[in-house]
Amino acid sequence: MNKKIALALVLLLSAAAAQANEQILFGDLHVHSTVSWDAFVFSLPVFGGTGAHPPAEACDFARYCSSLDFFALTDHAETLTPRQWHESKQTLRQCSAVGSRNNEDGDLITFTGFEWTQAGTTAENHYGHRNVIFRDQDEAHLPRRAISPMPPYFDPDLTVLKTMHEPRVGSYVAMMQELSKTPVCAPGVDSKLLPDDCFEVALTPQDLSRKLDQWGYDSLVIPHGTAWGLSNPPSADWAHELTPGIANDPRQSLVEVYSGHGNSEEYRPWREYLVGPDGHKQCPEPTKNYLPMCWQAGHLIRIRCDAAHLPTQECARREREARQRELDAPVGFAAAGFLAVPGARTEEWLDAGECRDCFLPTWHHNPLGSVQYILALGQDRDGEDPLRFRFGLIGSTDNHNAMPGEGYKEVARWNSILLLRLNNPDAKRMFLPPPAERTAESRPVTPDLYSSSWATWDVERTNSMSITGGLVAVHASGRSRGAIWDALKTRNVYATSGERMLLWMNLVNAPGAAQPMGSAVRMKRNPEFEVKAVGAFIQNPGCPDFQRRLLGAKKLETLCHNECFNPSNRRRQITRIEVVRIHPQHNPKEPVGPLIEDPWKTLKCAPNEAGCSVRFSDPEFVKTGRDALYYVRAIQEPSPAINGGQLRCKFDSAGRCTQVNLCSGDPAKTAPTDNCLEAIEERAWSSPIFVDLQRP
Amino acid sequence: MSKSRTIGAEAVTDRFRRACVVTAVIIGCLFSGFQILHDLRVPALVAPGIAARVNGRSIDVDSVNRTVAGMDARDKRSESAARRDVLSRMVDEELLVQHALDTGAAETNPEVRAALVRSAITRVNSEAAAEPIADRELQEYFKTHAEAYATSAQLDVTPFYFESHARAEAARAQLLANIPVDRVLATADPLPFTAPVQAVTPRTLANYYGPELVEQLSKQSPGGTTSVVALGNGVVFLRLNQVSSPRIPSLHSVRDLVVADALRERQEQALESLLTSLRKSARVEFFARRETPVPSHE
Repeated sequence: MNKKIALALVLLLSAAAAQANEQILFGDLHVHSTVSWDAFVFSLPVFGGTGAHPPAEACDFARYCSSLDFFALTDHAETLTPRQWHESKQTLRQCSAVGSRNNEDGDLITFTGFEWTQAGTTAENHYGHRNVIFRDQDEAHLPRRAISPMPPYFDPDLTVLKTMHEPRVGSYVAMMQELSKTPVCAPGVDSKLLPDDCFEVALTPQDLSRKLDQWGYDSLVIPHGTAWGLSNPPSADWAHELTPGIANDPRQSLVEVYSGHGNSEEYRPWREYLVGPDGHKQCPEPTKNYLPMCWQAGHLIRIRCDAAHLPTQECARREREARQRELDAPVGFAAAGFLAVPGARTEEWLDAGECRDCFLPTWHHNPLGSVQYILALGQDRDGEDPLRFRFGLIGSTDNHNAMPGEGYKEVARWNSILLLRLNNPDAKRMFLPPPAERTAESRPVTPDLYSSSWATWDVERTNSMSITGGLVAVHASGRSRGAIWDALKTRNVYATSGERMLLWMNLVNAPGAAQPMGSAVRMKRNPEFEVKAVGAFIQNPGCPDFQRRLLGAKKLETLCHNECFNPSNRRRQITRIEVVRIHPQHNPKEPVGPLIEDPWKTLKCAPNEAGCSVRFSDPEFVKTGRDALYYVRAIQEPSPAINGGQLRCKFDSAGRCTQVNLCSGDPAKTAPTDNCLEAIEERAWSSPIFVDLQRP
Repeated sequence: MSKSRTIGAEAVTDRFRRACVVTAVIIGCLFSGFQILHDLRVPALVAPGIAARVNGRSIDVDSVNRTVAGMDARDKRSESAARRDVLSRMVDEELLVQHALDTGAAETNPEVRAALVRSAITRVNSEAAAEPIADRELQEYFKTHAEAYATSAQLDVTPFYFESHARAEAARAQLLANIPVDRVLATADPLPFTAPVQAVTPRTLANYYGPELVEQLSKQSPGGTTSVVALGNGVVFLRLNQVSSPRIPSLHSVRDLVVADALRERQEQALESLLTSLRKSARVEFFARRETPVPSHE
């Protein structure tokens, strides 16, 4: 037998043996209970919410409804008092203790965490959201306080809320009062030496890292929402985070590519705006797959102006002015540029600002925060390893109703996904901008146009783009806290869009032994890969009998809406494997676009419910002389999903969106029972394998 | 004469009355001033268990005692002074509460309403938790909920995958005829995916093979096999090598957890019973939304 073939066989067998000692477990590392201030607001009955969803409910939901193997609770740190943090820790410990010998190996393993929800106003002071999750659960290995990126956040909309006839507002006020009585911790003091009951603040990721070092407990810091238009300023660019202390922070081994807010994966060359030589924002022209908001603002005003029979020159001026005013809108929760066109209906904006050819993109997808862009950033350094982000990929729900892993079924749009319900005049007053006269001229966007901070959120658009969340799958050496943690730390994980697909990706000719997804390898020959993927089981309606027996009919209804994870014996098929190759930058001046090849290869799968197995290699690796990373998307056959069509555009022959059909949060427009199902190709994303060229 | 005498007597009476009124006002002012200066309330009655009554609402002695007992020793000049201070504050608080209620705060102010609801729930919870869970009650609770505390079963299986149904049935028959597992396994085709060789929970096993096979395994003893079922373009059956059954822990080992759960259930039941009794005793009227009259065609 040829020596090379023999070696390849040995490596393959050793990889298979290593993986046979693993099991794939599914979890959700991004979940909010109504301890989070925004989740509390959404839960208010006046906004169609169903009341409090405390941390204990997240535990029950994960155990009985979604049947997860693990989850982390990550309530917003900016309103999390030491008391709430303490209670959450206790609840999670109790949750893990059920069915466990030592809190380490139960049927449901919980991780304690918080969300460090940073949002800057400019690219320079913006770092974005990160979830901080701790390995251990005993009090001796957990910090005594959460760490917020800002001083306590007092909801500026409290005054609006107080005017509403809503019994639970009082509880919300009490929560804010408790927060107001919590003193901010003294700066510059070691976290371990601070008093228990103060509110701890870390303004930057470096500060956060320093504080986590002071605590000294094993933790993960997982960025998410990197490409969101929501909560990120329009100019946000991850390039400025490519600095020592952030890019090479060993806690940052993972990034959330997908959640109920949408998919943050894909890079695109278009920009929301350009910067002119004078430093001012300029409105770019539309491209085949992107209609800038500013452009549409000008277009809407132009139509009104022409209809008013004003002089052409004046209308052209107003069109230009509207574009600029849209761009110059201040940053609140979101860029509120849409308010520049008075009284414009959401539908009139068509799909402006959205990534037309992305898979379930987030609202106002920002390519400069896309995961592909982040992975492509790099800076070579003399005598040191290059500075790069080496992230494994995870999916999460980011659910705000204490429903970890809620994407197992495409049901209950009204109660599961992130939806701002416009079910009465109070809700409309809270979430929508006040009605305005449809004038033939734009207006500057100023805070007096907002009824509340939520009104800057383009609520009807986001309602129509919200989806059920994703999951993280780990290749763990066992069902234990330690085994799951090790898989997360070593990036031997993959993301899914919510379906429990099985996925393996190995570098089969790595030096020594075959290497799994997430590995970083140095080699001097062309890499060869093997991928296996198996589709998820189609779900049966209802709940299994044993869950009904354990939980009782009443709780099953209130907690799971009578729909649990309940697989049938039929699997969906994997139709293809897409391979993405990225060559990280040598330096930040190198254009990123050509470095990202998506898809680099598409490998078709023969119809087979037992899955799909493919092999590929990169014959150019050595020749190009560059380091590269490779990840795959396993694409499943189409199946219906809530808001699968998002804005549900009708396209003309040139591919332009000519009409949208929003899935509304207003029950008068879309019935709450309508799940707005459209077929999508659910998928799983492997973590990349990072292959560095071994140089002589 | 008589007239002047009469006039004189009236004048004396008037003066006397005026003097009385002025004296009363002065005494009143002095008394009020004394009260303000010394914050003194005169006990009107001696009633057992009641420290004061404000507009008919009682402040009980126990509440005063509890508050005094809870005071920091440094704040207590003397027991009687401390008691007087506490009672005085409680009277003021009661007056303010009554004022707030008179002005409709409980009906209209959402914060007050929320605080009242919270307080009512806290009271029910505290009362329900006041009695410790008796051993017998705990055992009863654990008996009916034991399944929820059980560890998951762990199943160690060997999959046999074949591209032909007939070969799979033949292999299964060989196993049933006690042909060694390794020999039969050697006749199988490679499984299309990498399955765990370690013992895993039924849920994890179902993620690989589906719920039907796992359900079949639950009825098997070690050495038993499932039926042959389709797996993509081939078929598969599983042999159960070993099983560690769900283990219900001893009550002693999970006592704290069970106590917390039992207490929570007791509190939930107490609140539910309270609401049920309130609903029963209350007169709640629901009014249908006024509909626009449908015009009659008759």
